[in-house]
Amino acid sequence: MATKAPKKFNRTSRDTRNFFLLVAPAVFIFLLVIAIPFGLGVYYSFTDWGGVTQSETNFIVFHNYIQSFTDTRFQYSLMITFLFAIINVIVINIVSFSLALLVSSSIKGRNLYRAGFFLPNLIGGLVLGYIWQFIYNQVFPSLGDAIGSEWLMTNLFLGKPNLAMSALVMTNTWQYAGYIMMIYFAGLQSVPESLYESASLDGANWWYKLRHITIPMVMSSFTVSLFLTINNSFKIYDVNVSLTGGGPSIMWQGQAIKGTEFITMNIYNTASVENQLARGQARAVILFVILVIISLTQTTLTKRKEVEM
Amino acid sequence: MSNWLNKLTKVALSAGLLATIGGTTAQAASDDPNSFTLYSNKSETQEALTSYAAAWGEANGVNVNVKVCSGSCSLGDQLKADFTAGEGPDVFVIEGQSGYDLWADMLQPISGDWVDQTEFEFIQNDEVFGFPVSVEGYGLAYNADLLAEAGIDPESLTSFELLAAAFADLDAKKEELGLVSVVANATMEGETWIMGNHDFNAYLGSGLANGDRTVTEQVVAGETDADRMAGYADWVELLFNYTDPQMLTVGTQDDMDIAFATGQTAFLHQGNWKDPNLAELEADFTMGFIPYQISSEFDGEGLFIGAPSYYVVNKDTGALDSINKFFEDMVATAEGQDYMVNQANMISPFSTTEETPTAPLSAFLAEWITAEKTIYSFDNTYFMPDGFGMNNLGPIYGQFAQGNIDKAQFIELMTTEIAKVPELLGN
Repeated sequence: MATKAPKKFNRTSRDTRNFFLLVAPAVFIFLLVIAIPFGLGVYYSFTDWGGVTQSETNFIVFHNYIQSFTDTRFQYSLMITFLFAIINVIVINIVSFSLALLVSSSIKGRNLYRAGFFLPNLIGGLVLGYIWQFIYNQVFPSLGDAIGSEWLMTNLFLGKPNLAMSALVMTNTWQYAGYIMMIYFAGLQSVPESLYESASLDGANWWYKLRHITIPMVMSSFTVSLFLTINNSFKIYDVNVSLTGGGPSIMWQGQAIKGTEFITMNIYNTASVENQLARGQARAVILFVILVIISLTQTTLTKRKEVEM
Repeated sequence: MSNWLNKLTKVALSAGLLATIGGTTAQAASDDPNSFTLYSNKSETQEALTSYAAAWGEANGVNVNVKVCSGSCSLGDQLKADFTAGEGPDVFVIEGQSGYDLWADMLQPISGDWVDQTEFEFIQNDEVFGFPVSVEGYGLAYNADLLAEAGIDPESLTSFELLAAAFADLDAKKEELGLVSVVANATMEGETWIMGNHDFNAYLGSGLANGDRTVTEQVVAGETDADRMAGYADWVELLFNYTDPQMLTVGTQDDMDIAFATGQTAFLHQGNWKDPNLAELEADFTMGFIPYQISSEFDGEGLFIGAPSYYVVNKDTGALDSINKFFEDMVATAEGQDYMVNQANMISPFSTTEETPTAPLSAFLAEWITAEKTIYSFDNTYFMPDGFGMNNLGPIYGQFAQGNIDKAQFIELMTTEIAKVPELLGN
């Protein structure tokens, strides 16, 4: 194509102006809904702000943060959320990757499976929690009775802290595996067939192909899935409140506290139930900092491993 | 030039679209004297309240907008959001002293002839701020038919020893009576209000006159009466020993209701607010309440009765006269009384109400009130820090229920948590 001589009018400033005009509404809303409230929130976390129900706001600097970090219940919440996040991320990613492999193979009915696995994600978290609460409390013991498993009959999942944790992992996996599976599935689709063909020609078996071709090629999907599952695990609330309600209670450092009260529920309890709005805000800022550090670390590390074609 | 105009138009249109999407606003305190919003927290009475308000509104030329926030919606949180947005409703609901303290700056006093017809209105600094929505109460609910079958007279259960003996008796006769366990109770997280709020209220007020805050003031100062707590722990232990472990540890309030309604338990640890639920479950036996027995040193004689919530009025409303008339008519007119007692199934807090409720537990309480039997304070727990009963005490009951701590540890933990009250209130 023959190149024309560049026109003499000021294209750059016109483009810049159009750029700002188009971006303005989104930036405006972002400022109003995200940036400004966030800034205000960080400011309030250094005070004893009580919202509309308290007329004075005093600057108390780090008091909220110190109290939060020395509070046994909050320490436990942090610990238990980390633990849950680690287990949950591993389980969800393994399960959904396996499902994605299953669904992208040439198995019969794979389209049906794809839709079926994705469906649980469409059910709202609260409803999901209540349904699974029924399953854990009523169905599992009956199942234990039917198949003669003494363990199932006497051990109520929601009655013991460790089992309640695994109940939460199972329910959350059931909810999200389909969604993450879709991400892996899209990644798998983009791996060129030619790679597998040449590997087969060179005598590679199934496991070798998985390890050395599939996994490196879907690293970008892995970055995304890992990011999503980590964030979701740290911020989980709806399933937490409907399935276990924060329970069962456990003894921790000589105090009786809620056994599965994750960070978000702790923030809600502090801010709304116990009317400590500024302290709840401080805890929310702590959660934000944790998530930023983890997400940045994770995306940087996994980005390095991505293979570009 | 037209290209530029095109782009600008598109930008303006998309901005306008976004603005309209975000443009819905909630009702604010109205300036119109003939229109007001009432925000209630009871889903059970929503239908009745809405139809009564509509009928009254039509007869008086006032537009009454009834909204309800209940169940998973927390009225306290919703109000905080609405007020912060500058859109607080004209009339809303508060619960007890802590509710008043929270909203004190937003309220104005109300008046009417009804004030003299009740002892349950909410007074602060000699001014009336709260219109009692209803009267609620509890003791230990019992299934009269089952007790009769077992040969136990509920009116004879007047002391801790006698009650413990009756429980043991019922437990021994479980098979022939078709009982799963003697008492229906729950301590799981999410239902910690049952023990943490209502049962703990017994520690605060049982054996004391209605309005006597002696023990409450002790707790507010962080002190625990060791003897009283020891007796109270015996009562909790008694309750837990005679409740099905699965229901006690992972059961919900629905499980409790179902067990009681189907005759699987003889007692239910709930109050008269469960009438609609029990009616829905078709529980058609005679019911009543027996007093809690929290000590061997005195006999519990009273039930815990009081107004759990009050209607309060936004000080910025322009419809105060209409609102006062609304309250006045609810008490004075036949339609209002019919609404309160028959449609909404509430116990009327007003002595002038002629209707008596038909629901069994409510009827029992109404009779108790008319017969002027002993009433203990219902609202002592409202002096506790927010969420104290559910979040601080709840897990202790839970641990005790699971058998992870013994009675001595229970007492110790309760004492430790009570010692934190002054700090929690001061913050």
